[in-house]
Amino acid sequence: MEFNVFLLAKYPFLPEARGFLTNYFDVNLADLMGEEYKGAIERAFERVTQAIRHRRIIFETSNMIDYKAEIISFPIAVSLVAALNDDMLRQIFATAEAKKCFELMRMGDSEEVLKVAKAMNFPIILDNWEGRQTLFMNISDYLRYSPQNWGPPWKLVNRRIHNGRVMVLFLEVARLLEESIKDLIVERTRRNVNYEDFPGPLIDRFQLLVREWKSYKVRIVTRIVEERRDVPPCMVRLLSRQEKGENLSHVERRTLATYLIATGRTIEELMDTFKTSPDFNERIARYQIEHLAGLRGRKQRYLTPSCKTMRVYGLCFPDQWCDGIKHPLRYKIG
Amino acid sequence: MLAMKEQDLRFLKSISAEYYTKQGSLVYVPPPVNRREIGYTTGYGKFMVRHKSFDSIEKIRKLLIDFLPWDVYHSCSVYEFPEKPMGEKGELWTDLAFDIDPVHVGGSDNRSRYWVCDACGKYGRGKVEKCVYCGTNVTDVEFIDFHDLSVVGMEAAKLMRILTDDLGMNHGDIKTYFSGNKGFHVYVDSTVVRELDQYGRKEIVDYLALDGFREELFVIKSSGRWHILREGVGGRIIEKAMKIIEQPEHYPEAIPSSALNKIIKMRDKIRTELSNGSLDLIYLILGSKTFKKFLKAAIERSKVKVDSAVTLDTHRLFRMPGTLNKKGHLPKFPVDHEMLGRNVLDHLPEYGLYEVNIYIKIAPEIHMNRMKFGPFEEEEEKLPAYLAAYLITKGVGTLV
Repeated sequence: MEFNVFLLAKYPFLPEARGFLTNYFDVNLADLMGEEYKGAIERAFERVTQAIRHRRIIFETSNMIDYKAEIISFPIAVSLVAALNDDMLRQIFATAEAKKCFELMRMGDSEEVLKVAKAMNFPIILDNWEGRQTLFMNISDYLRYSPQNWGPPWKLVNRRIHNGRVMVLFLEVARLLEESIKDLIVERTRRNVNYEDFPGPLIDRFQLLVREWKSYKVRIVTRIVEERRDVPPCMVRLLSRQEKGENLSHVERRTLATYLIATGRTIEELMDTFKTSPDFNERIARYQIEHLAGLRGRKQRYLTPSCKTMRVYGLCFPDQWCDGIKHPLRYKIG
Repeated sequence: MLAMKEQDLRFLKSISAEYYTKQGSLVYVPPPVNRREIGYTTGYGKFMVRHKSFDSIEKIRKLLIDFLPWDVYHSCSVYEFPEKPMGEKGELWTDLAFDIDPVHVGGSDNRSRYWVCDACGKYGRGKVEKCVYCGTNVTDVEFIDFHDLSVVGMEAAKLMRILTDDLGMNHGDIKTYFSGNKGFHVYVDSTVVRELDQYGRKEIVDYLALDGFREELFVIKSSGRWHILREGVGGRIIEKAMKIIEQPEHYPEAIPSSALNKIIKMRDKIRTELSNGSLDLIYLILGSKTFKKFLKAAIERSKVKVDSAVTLDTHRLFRMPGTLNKKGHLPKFPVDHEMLGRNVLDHLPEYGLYEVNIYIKIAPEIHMNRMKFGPFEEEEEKLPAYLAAYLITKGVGTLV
């Protein structure tokens, strides 16, 4: 059986990766300490720590060259995350892996997108439309896979539809695949893995990883608690969703950005906050943030919406300390 | 409002018995029948019986003849346990149902609307808060407006076209009914629809009503040329734009009188360009400001006006096809697509053809079964029983 090893190196979650591993390697946990798996182990820990520290997985040419390590490291990394058994880490890891895949598909060609889609049984149809090969999805599939808060271009009313099928661009399919990949990886990290079944030396390294994650999580949560002491619930909610890597709508991002600017955050801090957006583009994000901060265009700072406007947007979720205030910036606990 | 006498109630019951005996085969519940919740009203609509289920349509038809309920419903959802309370029924899937009536389409409020004073018995046309003669409470009486009925029928036809041409649903999976009151029901029983969750249903409703529509994603200016994408909503807008071009004098908000002659002169060319998605010529003729108004008018007319609450509510009970609607004692019956836009009441199922003597306080002209009746004002008439039942139910008639 032939395998496209470079494709599997890029997208090691594909079903063929299992076949590749079964065909060529008889890997069990005890074998993992063997010399031939040293690279894979290193890469597995690297994947998880990159996800924690940078919220992204770096994929370079060297990873393609050592495709064996790249392919094997993925299920090991998944096992590490499963053994850690933390929902926040699951989301962070899965989002980082999925984002890496999206970037690879974006830089690749349409054939690659089609291959990944086919391997994942993603329901796209390639058909001739007015003399051009065009991608479609059945409406029910499109509605199932397209997340709800991705903004107007994704709403059915704004799509080109014909005879029960929605036209989709290759890049849009890559974006939809990213979400499916993320969900797939989260699911895989939910299996029961007991770290005590790891070989001895691996347990030691695993414990180091656990310490790193816990320390990171404490920092994040402490920062969140401190920073959010007088942050109104509407903004806490937006911040949490942003941190989880959810794709906030344009209105939600603008609302959050104007609030952060008004509370004295720097442009770099805002860039840091928004880089967890699945479709983060540094150049565009910086331009938009600077515009909202009054550093570009008409050089006029955009104001944070009032509570009334937040209610109209459907973004108001008041708690007891919201009583009597008319603006999120006036919120104070106690 | 004329008080319902015992003899009127007995008459309505006898009409119901005749109807369900003769036309019982029209009574229909989408399969699987035994997994649908059935509900009906008794006590002249005062009491609602819910959470019932029946093994077969025959058993439901027998219930109708035995009990002669006033209104009968089935759930749009299919349940594991239809008889259990809400929350315990175990929803399996929900069909797609649409309710279109004059309220949503913007029908005339007053043309077929009357008020009758509860105290002094005086009456008038239109809607009032209190009796203009004695100041006491009035009862609103709404008759079928036959102009509105054809307009609503056209809206139902528009909905069907979008469901089939755009959304790819099969014609055979879609059933259209006269609701038994003033509008139409469109019901989709299809495997495609079964996969929809609440978000999917909302997206379908938004697609129909153009909620969240962004014009700039379809109407595009590139290299100085205006064009519109022809798929999806774009196709609907082009269709409406063509209609405006056909009779521009009927759309003063879209085509000013100054542009009328030019539009009429260049109609063929405009049509050709529009069918190819080009808006250049129409832009050239109208100019930027009026072009925007023209587009706005075409977009507005592309909306399908349905009662979104009906479509989005998966727990809703829907009036059972083939049963009588208490609001006018007329049946909800299936309507062929070609009949939409015309008076569907010319094709009422056959029942109540014998004549009865009835006193009518007030009623407008009524067109049923290819006959014209009325208008009526404080007079006795010999009318077909089905029409007498309608007038008695409306509270403006009583048997003599």
